[in-house]
Amino acid sequence: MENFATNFATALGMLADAQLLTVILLSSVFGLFVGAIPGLTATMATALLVPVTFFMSPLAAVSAIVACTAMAITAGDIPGCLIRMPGTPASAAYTDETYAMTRRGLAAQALGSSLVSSVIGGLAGAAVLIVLAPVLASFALRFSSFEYFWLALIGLSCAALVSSSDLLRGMIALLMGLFIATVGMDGVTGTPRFTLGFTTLMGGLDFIPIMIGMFAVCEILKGLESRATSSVGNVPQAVGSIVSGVIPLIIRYWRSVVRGSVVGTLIGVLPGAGGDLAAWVSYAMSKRFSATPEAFGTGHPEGVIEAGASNNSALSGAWVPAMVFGIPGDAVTAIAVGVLIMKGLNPGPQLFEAQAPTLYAIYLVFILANLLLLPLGWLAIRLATPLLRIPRQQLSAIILLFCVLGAYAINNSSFDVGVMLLFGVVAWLLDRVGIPIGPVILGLVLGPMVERNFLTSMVIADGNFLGFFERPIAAALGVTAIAIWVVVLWRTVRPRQHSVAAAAG
Amino acid sequence: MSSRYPPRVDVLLGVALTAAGLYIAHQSASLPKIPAQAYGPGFFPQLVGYALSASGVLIAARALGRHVRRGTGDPSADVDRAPSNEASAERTGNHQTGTGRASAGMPGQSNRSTSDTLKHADPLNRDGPNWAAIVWVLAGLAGIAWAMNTVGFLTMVPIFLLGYLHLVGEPFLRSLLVVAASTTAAWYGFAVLLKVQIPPGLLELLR
Repeated sequence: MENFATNFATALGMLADAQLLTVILLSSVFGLFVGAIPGLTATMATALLVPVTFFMSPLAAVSAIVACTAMAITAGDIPGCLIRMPGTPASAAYTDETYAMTRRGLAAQALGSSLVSSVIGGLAGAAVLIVLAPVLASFALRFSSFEYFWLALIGLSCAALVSSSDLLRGMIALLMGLFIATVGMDGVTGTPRFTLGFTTLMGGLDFIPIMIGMFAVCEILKGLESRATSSVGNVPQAVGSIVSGVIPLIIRYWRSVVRGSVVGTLIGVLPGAGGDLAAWVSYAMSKRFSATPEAFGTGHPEGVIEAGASNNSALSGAWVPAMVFGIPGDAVTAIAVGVLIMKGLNPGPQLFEAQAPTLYAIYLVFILANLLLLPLGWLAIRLATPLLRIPRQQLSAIILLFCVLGAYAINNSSFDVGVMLLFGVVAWLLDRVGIPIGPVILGLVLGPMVERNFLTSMVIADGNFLGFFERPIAAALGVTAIAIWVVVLWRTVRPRQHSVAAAAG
Repeated sequence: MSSRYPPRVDVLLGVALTAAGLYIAHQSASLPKIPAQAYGPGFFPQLVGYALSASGVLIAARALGRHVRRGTGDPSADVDRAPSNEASAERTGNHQTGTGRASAGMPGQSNRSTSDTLKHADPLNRDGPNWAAIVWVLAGLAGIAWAMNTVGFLTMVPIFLLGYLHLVGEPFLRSLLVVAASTTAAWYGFAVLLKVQIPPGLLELLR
């Protein structure tokens, strides 16, 4: 307890820093802005922010990402509600509902209630993170390479399973990420792999230009392909008073807020699943448990409140596996894990002992960012109409500018601009054939972890595969990983047999 | 668990992946082995390569199977088509069908549904792809990667951006203002505040 008090006091001291608070405020505004522009996702906001965080202290870098993503996910509701174009994928689940509310003249209520429920959800997720992460970490201190191998494998499996409606496509994306991770010198023996003779590739492909390419350049190319970057023709209507009628709604649907927060956090904690999935599941769940399911889709706030709480709580929840095991929950936390590693805060249970004050400060940032969401989100909603009138072509030019600079700035190397371009094109082509991008990034982050732990374990077990099941926790995790695949394969094969039997009968 | 893409796409994708996977596996096999250790640096990429080519074979086989069954009027071919109907329902913005998918543990690939909703909601989507701008972006970024160190950031990037804005139909004066302001601000932020060595290139000659 004394330890807790000292850490907490140190953390408060770390947070009371004008520069840090400015970083949090600026990244919040940036997140709100990017989130509120349709077509610019929360992941893109994070990817564009990373090159700047490269120059910050570890705490400031993590704080910037936490604040930016929380804001971007919430701001994604604004264009969804006003012009029926979700600002980020996590808002897509209830875009039609909020737009229906707007058509009934309830835009202010829709945005206000989703903002308040987002804040509550975000705080709930942060609370779970604060309580659960240290407990899991003290448990994880006993883990060896066997447990980490299985954990990383479970993370990879979940990523392939939830990212796409087509399992094979999710798998392919994941394998591509795993392959990209092998480029460069191998971590155990230092043998160069797939460097194609480039000495720059000896250290591997830099994570940041890949991300900027896959999430920003790719979006620009997609926009040019569909010409969806124009905002002409969709003029948002003005938003009235946001405060009136929101609190009664939240009180009336408090069960939805609680359920959304709990479900969202749980989904967030699952490795490989994040805010997008949480919003879909919570919206569907809200409808199932609702007293008036028939009202859903006609401009009914219940599902919006539940899913709004859910995607924000998932965002915080996703940090649990990211910080404790280094296994990201979704693409955004995958980027965050990359930043943690880049900043020398290697995720893992040791972090909770060695860097306890920094971690407490990060917890406080979660709380602060979610509280900041209330006034800043309110401001963003008030400013939504002029914001959505900004010509999006001009914005996309500015994004291109930041892509070039961001990719270049990491290593002062124009080679990385080429890497960014290559992966922008790859992501664009993958999108055209329906392969999701999220698992590529997860594979890229988890690949080295899977390989290193596998090779280390094999040396320890003297080449005996059964060694992976000798320790009790490793055995349990291994059985879980195998069970996931058995269930998946069974479900893939079964419906066909079923229908063939039905056709025969 | 199926694809809503035409079989042709899946077959081509499968063939490409199989070839790439086999190439990766072949290259990995030639990486040096470590004496007295069963698993060297080539083991993991080899595994990934084989898995990739297996996925390629599966995706192509599935698409061919669907194609054949559809041709013979086998009713089980509809099993594969059912999810694609759902997907297209979602694409038209009917999220009530979409949520049915979500409750089945399948959120859809939300990235796609966003962009699909975007496409659907945008009235200008009737036009085809803006190929001129796409080619400009690809060639421009390649040019920047290749020559920025010699030609310089402040020379290449504004020209690239102005060309881009012209090709997406923005008025020249507004573009000029936006490009001038944003390039200056970005240059100041990165070169002055963050102290990144941004290549001045030709501007070096003016000194």
